[in-house]
Amino acid sequence: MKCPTLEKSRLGGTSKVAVRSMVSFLGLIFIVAFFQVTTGGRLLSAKNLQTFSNYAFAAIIPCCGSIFLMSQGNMDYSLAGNICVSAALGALVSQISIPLAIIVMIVSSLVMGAINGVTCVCLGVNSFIATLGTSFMYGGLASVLLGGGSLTANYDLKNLDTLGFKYGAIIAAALVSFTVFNYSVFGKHCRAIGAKAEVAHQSGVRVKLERFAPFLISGFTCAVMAAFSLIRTCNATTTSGGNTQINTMLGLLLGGVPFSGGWNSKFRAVIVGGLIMAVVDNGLFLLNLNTASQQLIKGFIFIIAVALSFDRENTAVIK
Amino acid sequence: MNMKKLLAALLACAMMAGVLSACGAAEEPKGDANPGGASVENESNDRTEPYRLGYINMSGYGATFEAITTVLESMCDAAGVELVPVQMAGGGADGFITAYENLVNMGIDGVMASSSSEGQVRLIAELFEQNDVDWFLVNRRLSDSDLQEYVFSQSRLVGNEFCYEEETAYQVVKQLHEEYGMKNLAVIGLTLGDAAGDLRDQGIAKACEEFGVTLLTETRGISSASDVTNAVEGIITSYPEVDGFFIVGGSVTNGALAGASQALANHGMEDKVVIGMIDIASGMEEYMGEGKPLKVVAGGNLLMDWVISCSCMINYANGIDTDKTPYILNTSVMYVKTPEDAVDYSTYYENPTTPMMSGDQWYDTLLGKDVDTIQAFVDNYTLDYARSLSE
Repeated sequence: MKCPTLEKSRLGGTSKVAVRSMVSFLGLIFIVAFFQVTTGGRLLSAKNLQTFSNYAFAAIIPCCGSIFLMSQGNMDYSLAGNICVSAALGALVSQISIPLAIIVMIVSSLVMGAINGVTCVCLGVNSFIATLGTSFMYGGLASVLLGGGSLTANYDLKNLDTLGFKYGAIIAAALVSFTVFNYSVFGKHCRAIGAKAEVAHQSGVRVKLERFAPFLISGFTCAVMAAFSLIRTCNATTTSGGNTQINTMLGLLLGGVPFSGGWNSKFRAVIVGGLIMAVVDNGLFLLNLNTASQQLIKGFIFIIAVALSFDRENTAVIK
Repeated sequence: MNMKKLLAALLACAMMAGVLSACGAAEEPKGDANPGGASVENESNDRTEPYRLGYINMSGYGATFEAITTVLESMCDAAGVELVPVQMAGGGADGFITAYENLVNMGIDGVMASSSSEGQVRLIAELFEQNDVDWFLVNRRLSDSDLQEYVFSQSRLVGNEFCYEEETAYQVVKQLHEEYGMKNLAVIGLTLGDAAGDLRDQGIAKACEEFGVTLLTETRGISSASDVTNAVEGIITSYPEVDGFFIVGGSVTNGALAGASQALANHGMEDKVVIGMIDIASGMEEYMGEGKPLKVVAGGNLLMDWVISCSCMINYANGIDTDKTPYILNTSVMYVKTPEDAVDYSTYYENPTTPMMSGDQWYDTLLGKDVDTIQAFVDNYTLDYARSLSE
């Protein structure tokens, strides 16, 4: 295995790592400028910045949790199902007590994250396959809880739908995630596992445990997203959570996280990639493109992002 | 490392420049909070810009919604009102809320608002009330009395219109039973929690009890033709005595009619089983007639919902009946039973490219008229009348 740091020092500022990180920054600058011009200045208007907070929340929070998974070369394809179940339970319980509803959402999401972790780590199933399977399970469970329709939550939740709460939550989540990812032993171990699990194991890393933990983190961020969904709409529906897993993956890839994880996974991808996704979603909507056109464009971006970010030297794609 | 710092600095400068340019840009003119005139020519108010009327454009969802867009554009063009469409931001509750927030950000004066479920209506009401936007609740009958009281107390609510869903479903079952002898019914229904679907279910249950029709089974949450085909084939296998299908939401269940007909054809049961449907499906004439299963389609209310809403909003903006808000109106449905009527329906009424009326005809019938006149027009609207408009 080539050591990225030695390679970088050998090739200087023109290394693949530097290019990949520049691309994400340049991409964000370009995207912001592009939509600012094409929307006639509406993207960064004061009114739109309020709406933008919703897009930023939905993009950055899941990325804060999924960075740990993706740095290991894993992925969680069940985010939407997890959010849907959690929101449904939260809507049901919120009619009794809102604090209790929050606890229920957190516990349920952690349980679902644990199921993903057990399936992937203990049963040895590929993370994509495991979480794809659980996504069907959680989707079905959500349909049962919602009776195939929707549930209305306690309207008092709407009081939390403020700019301060949303941006505050984003900053808090980003800070915690940044600190743990960059400065904790756990964060370093995640990247080491992504680089080469066998080497990490030989170095004394408890690989199984540290592969399991990110699924719990991902589950926790699903609880946060479920709460956000209820705060925004006071409704839990079968479409709650939407395409969270795709948008999260896309955001981290656009931010510069390699598809196969490893040492090149940087936390800045959470912010840069999350902002790119939020700006793209918001910008496409401001341009009044229909849903089909938006999907077409995002699919194209996804292919380009994967093509640019896929580390072909490490052939193990998904662990 | 230096390059990354430089890029980060460039990014910060670009975003700051963008923010400053956006803050420095003139605010979009906001419409007058009081109802004024819809057009520049109206002399009774100070409005100098056209009234901006927003709505969620769902023309990608089928011919009916294309026809709705065509009609709204025609009516607003005739009235000198600026129609402001916005796309759905994904599906479900969040999609609707985000779309309405974007409309508000675009500086609309009024909005014709629908929702995917009753649970969202309160949020929509709060959003428009807080932002001084007139609004009309389209195609939504509020079953919760507390919610009804809350919504109707909103100062910006212009009106609400709805169709009697329970009665419509009741009539379809009644006609299938009385005219075709249907006795064993299977329902392909809307998802639970949808108020319209729940009301239709009540109508079906009432008709089944009254006419002695056995409700064999219900299938819900279907969204594609292949799912309907599988569901119908499953029902035929499980319940060989079935002689009637009720597709409760034709416009919601895309391709449901084609799927159901295909399944019946696969089992050679096209002339043994009858189908009733609520909501018009394009191309339905292919499944009607001798030896074909589709016998009665109840619809036409979707288009009329938006016609009523748009005319009420335009007239309200012009200062008509402003003391009678919130208006409560309801639409009737048409019952299409023959292939000839189905063709004429698509040609003269729900045509995706040609509006049902010209500018002068809008003014002769709806624009500039009071609410009672509008209700009377809707009550008396028939397919024959739609044909006569094009003569």
